Amino acid sequence: MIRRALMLLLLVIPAAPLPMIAQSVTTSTDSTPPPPRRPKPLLAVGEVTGINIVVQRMNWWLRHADWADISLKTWSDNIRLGWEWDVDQFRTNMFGHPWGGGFFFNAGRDNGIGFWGSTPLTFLGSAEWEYFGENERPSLNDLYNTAFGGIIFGEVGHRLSNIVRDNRARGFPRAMRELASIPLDPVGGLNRMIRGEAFRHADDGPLRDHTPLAVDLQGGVRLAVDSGPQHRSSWSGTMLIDIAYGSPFDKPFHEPFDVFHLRFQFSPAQGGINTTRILGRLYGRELTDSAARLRNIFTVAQKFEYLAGPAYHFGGQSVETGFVSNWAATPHAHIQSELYGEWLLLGGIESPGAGVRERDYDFGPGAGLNASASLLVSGATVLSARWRFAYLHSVSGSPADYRISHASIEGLLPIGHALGIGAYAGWYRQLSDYGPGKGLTYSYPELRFYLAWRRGQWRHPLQNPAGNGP
Amino acid sequence: MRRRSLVLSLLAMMAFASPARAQYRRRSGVWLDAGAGIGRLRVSCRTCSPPASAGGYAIDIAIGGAMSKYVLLGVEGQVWTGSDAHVDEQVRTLSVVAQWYPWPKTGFFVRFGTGLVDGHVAPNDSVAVRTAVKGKGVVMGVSLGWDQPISRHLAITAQAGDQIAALGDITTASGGLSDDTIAYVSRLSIALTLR
Repeated sequence: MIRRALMLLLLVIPAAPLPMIAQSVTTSTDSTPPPPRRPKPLLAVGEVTGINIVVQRMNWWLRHADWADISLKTWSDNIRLGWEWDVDQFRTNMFGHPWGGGFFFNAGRDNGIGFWGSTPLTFLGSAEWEYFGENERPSLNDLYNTAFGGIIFGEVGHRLSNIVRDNRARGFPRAMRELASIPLDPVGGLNRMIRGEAFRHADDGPLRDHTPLAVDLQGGVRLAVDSGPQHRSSWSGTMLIDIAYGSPFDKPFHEPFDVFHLRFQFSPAQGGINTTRILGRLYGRELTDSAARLRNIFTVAQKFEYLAGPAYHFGGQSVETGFVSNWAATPHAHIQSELYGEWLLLGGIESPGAGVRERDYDFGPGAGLNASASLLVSGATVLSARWRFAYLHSVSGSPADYRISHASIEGLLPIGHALGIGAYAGWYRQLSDYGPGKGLTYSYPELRFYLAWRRGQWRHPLQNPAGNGP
Repeated sequence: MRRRSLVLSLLAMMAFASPARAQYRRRSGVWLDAGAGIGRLRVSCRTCSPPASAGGYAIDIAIGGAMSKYVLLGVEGQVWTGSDAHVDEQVRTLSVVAQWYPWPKTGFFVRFGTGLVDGHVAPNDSVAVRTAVKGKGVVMGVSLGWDQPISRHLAITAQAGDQIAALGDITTASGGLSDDTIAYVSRLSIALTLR
C-alpha cells in the first residue's frame, strides 16, 4: 500500500531539513515573506489532479495494490454509494492523510495563491482521490483529515522550505538546501526544478523570509506507563523537536500562520511518533498596549494534534480561540500564558470497546480547553506547565462519549549558551462513557529526561516555544 | 419542472446582467445572505439498504466578513425539511463556511463549510414501519454558486450544493440499528445577499 510506503517515508524525512533550518535561524525581526507569484489557479488545480493521477497509477502499475484497481464502474459505484468511515490504521488516518494533504495545499501556494485561496485545493484533491483514486467507497474521515490537516502541513512546509532554500547559495550547499526543502514542500521542490529556479542563482536576500525562528532539539529517555489491566511500563530512547516560527509579541498579526509552533516527538521503542502538534495563528489582535507590562492578544488558531502512547491514541483537527498573554514580572522574568477554547472539528480516539470491524478507535467531533503557562528567566524558558481537556462524541464506531485530560509540567536548566538539561512529567487520563454504568477510566503517566540544544531565539525575551505543548 | 424554471430564471438573469454591474463585485466588510430552495435528502448507513430518500425544502442564512477579494469567511445555518411516506424529516446544520472566488472579477464561487448537525431522519432499517430518529454529529458541505449584483450593496446569489452529515449510530423506534448513519442533503437555492 502506498500508505505504508508513505509512513516509512514519514519516519525518515522529518529530520532531513533540520540542520538546514537550524543553519538558517535568524535573529532578525524583519518578517517580510517572499514576494507572491502571479496566481495561477488553473495550474494549481492541474497539479492537484496530477498528483492524484501519478500516485494512483504508480500504485496500480508498480505495486498492483488491490485498492488501486479502478475503472469507470468503481467511479460510478463510489458516486452512487456515497461516503463512509474507513477502517484504516490510526496513524494512517490521523497522521498520514494530513501530511499527504499538504501536497495539495502546496500546489496552490507554489503557484502564487495565498493561504485562504489554497485551502479549497486540499478539499478538491482529497475529494478527487476518494471518488476516483480508490475502488473503495469515499471516506469521510479521510476528507476531514486530508483537507484540514493538509492546510496545516502545507503552510508549515511552505514557510519552512522558504527558509531552507537560498537562491544566493551555490554549489554543494545550494544542492543540499534544495534537497533538504523537498520533504517540507515536495510540490514546490519539483516545480522549482521544472522552472529552473532550483539551479539559478539570484540575489533575493532582502525578499527572503526572515521571520524569527527557534529550533529546540531534545534527546533523552522516556518512561511510559499504562494504568490498564496489563499495567505495562516501558523505557525508550526519545527525540523531540520544537520549532517556534515568529512570536505573537513581536509584530501585529499580518497573515495566517505568521506565528506557529510545531512539536514532534519520536520514540523508536514506543510506537514511533508519540506526539505531533502544530498550532498556527489564523488571526490575532492585541488588546493592550504593546509596551505594557501585561499584554494580551486575542488569537484564533488552527491546530493539528496526534498523540500516541503505548496504550492510547488521540488526535484530530481543531480550531482554537483564546488569549495569549505576557507579563513582565521583572525586567528579567516573564510569565507567558495561553488560554484557548477549542472546537474539535473531527477527532479520533482509541479505547477498549471502541471501533468497528478492524478499526479499534472512534471518530467524532468535540470541544476542549487548553491552558498553559511558562516562566522565562533572562529570555530562557525554565518552567512550563500545561493542561488540556477535550470532549469527543463518537459518530462512527461505538456509541460513546469520551473525556480526556492531559496535564504536564516541564523544567529546563540552561547550561551555557545553547545547551540545557530538562525533565518532563505528563499525565494523560481518559474516561470512556459507553452508557449508564459502562464507563472506563485509564491513566497514562509519562516521564522524560533529556539533554536540550537550542538555536535561534533561545534568549528572545518574548518567545515561548514550549507553550501549549504536551 | 420547478427546478427547470429556477435554472432558466438564473440563466436569464445572468444573460441580461450589465457589464457595469461588475463594479459592484467588491468584496469587503460584512456580508449577509438569506435564501431558500429545494433539496433532496438521502439517508444511508452500513446496515440500511437501499438508502432512503425524500424531497423537501431548505432555508439558509449566512453571515460573515471578507478576508480578501478572493475569500469570505462566515457562519451558515441551514434547515432542510421534508417527508417521505408520511414520515417527517429534518436536518439542521450550523457550519463555519469559506467562500472562494477563484476568478474575483466574476461572480462564480465555491463555498465550503463544516460544522455540527442535528438530524431527525428515517433510515431504511429493514423494518416494515419506518420512523424518524434523532442523531447528532458532524457535517461538511460544498456548493457552487454565482453572485449577481443588482445594486451597490445587494446581490442575488444562486447556489447548488451538497452536504454530508454524519449522524453516527442511531437506534430506531422499531429497535433496528442504523449503523454509521450518513445523511446527504442536495440543494438548489436562491438567496439575497447584502454586503
